[in-house]
Amino acid sequence: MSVLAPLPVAVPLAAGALLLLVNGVLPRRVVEVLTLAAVVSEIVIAAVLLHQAQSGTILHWFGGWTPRGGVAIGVSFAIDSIGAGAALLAGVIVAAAVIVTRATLDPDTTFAYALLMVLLAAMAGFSLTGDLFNLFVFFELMAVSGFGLAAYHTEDRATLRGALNFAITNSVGAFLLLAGIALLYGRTGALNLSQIGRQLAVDGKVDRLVVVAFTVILVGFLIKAAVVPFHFWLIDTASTAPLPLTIVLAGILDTLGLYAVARVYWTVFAPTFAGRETAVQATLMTIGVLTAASAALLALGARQRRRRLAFVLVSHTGIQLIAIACLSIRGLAGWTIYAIGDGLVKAALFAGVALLGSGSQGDEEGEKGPPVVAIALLVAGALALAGLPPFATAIGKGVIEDATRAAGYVWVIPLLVVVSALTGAAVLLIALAALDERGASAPLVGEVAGVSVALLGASMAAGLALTSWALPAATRFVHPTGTAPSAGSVGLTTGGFLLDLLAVAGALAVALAWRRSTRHHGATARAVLWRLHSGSIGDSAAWVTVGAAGVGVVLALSLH
Amino acid sequence: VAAWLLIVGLYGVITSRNLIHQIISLSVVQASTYVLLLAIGFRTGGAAPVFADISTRRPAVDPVVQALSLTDVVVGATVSALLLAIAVQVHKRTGTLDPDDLRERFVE
Repeated sequence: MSVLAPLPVAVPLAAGALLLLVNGVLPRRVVEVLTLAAVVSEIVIAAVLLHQAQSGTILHWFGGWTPRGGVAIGVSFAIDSIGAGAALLAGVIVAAAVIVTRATLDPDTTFAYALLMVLLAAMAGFSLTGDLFNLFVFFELMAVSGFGLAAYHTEDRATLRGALNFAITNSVGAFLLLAGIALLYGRTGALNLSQIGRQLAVDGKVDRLVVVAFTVILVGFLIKAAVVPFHFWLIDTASTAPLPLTIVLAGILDTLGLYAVARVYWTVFAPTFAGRETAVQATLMTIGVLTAASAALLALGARQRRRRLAFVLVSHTGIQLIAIACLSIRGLAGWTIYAIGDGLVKAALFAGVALLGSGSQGDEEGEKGPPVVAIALLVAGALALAGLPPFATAIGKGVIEDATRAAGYVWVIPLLVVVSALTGAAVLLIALAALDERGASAPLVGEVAGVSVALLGASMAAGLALTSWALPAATRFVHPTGTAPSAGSVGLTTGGFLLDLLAVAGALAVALAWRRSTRHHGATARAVLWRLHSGSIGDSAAWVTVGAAGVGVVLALSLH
Repeated sequence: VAAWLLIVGLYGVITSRNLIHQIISLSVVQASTYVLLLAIGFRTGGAAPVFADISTRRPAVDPVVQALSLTDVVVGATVSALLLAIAVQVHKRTGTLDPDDLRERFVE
């Protein structure tokens, strides 16, 4: 038990309330310092927890309501390495968002700071909690503070539409999730994750109730993760929302959706589904492959910079889902490395694109200059997306490739290479297009550029630092009660290294080739796809329904 | 009942031509979760789970799901309030409440 356990949630939450209290009383400078102090302390606490969690899962029972005889009454936090790591990543990403807030949302920043603090508290709680209903509450808290930030620029019509789509689609997801929780509670009488898992395993049967519960919970989280066909809200929101929110969305929010899938699968359903893993594996793998491939193609086809990046985001979420779909410790280890590296790179890219002047308000004091920095950032980010060593994405992708091979999905490996190449190329194209427009020099916002550089650097450093951490952490995630996790490290094999280089080369080739052929084929197909992505909220909800039904039918057929 | 509410609500969200209607439909979806939660906690012949004036031996409905529903209500109120606020903004800026209209005016 650690006294630090509740603090990653409590500190930002208190800071958020305090910010609203002192709004208008204290000078802006103080407000900024307060916000940053809260974020930094969250980062430090999460880092300490991460260190402690390496020697075993930290359990914290709120109000001292410890379980009696294996029945949990109270609500607990169960902190393991990956959870603490997610909280830490959330802190880093929010720190970046706080810094760019000042540059992009001036002058009324206080509410944005307060919302970011609540968002951070929710993300930390989401990563650390060991209770299913608590997970739902933090899920909603993340969503609501996200809606608030998405609708921050109320004068802009596109932003409002993005915010509405975000809010409605996510709410549907949340209610599906809640329905799943209710069903599980009805069966097991428990809300604690590991207790539900034990209880279900004791029952041992996989009947309709369990399948339906698994489906709605899975779909709820996949909506948050924004994989195809649940991704429509993200395209809209990420291409219209203010920069701080897009950074958070790109860096961590969708990854947290997948984190929850992994958490709930391993803690709750894995013992019950023992022997039937292949069905779950095939379902998740199909969704992941579909997401990665279709979004990568759409990213190349998209015209607007930020929409293109949003598709890149969705595509890489697909890669992450493929990693989880391996349902193996190695896949999970690869996923953690990839998710951290990828999140940092994508956040940096959104900042870099804002530098080009498409969405940023532009700081008046910012020095004017040609967007050389922005273009350099985009190129570096594009290469990182394609998997240039030593970025964490390269190492993570290598490990994921190994894991897919072990899981019997060899054909996924070339797909991973192609997808990385395509998304890298999509971003390279943005940089190339910007090179053409060089005449119109965009204002260079120092803070945004700095943040972007720092995030890219962090991604590179993470790649080097994480190799020995990921495997034990993943082992502990899968077997929380197991004795000392087997030490071991994952690294980049020669084969993985070559595949990474191949992807990078592919990205360069595709970008140049695409640039040559100015007019593209398949205009009708594109028109149909664009109609699909036109941003209608009703369409988005319809796809959610269709997708949920599809996943449900497939799982019901294959799990029985 | 819960499933019916869920489906009717989703239908409303999908087909709605009016933002306010769409938001209310979302509330209908949410109502399905209340019904489901309470139905799960129900026990035939159960009393309200307040043991101040009745014997603790009497069967009572499950208090946990009631707590969950209450939390759910709070969450729902927050979401609806925020959505309605955004809808008001949309109306102010664009003079329309039709979500499809909003789209067509923006995406040329």
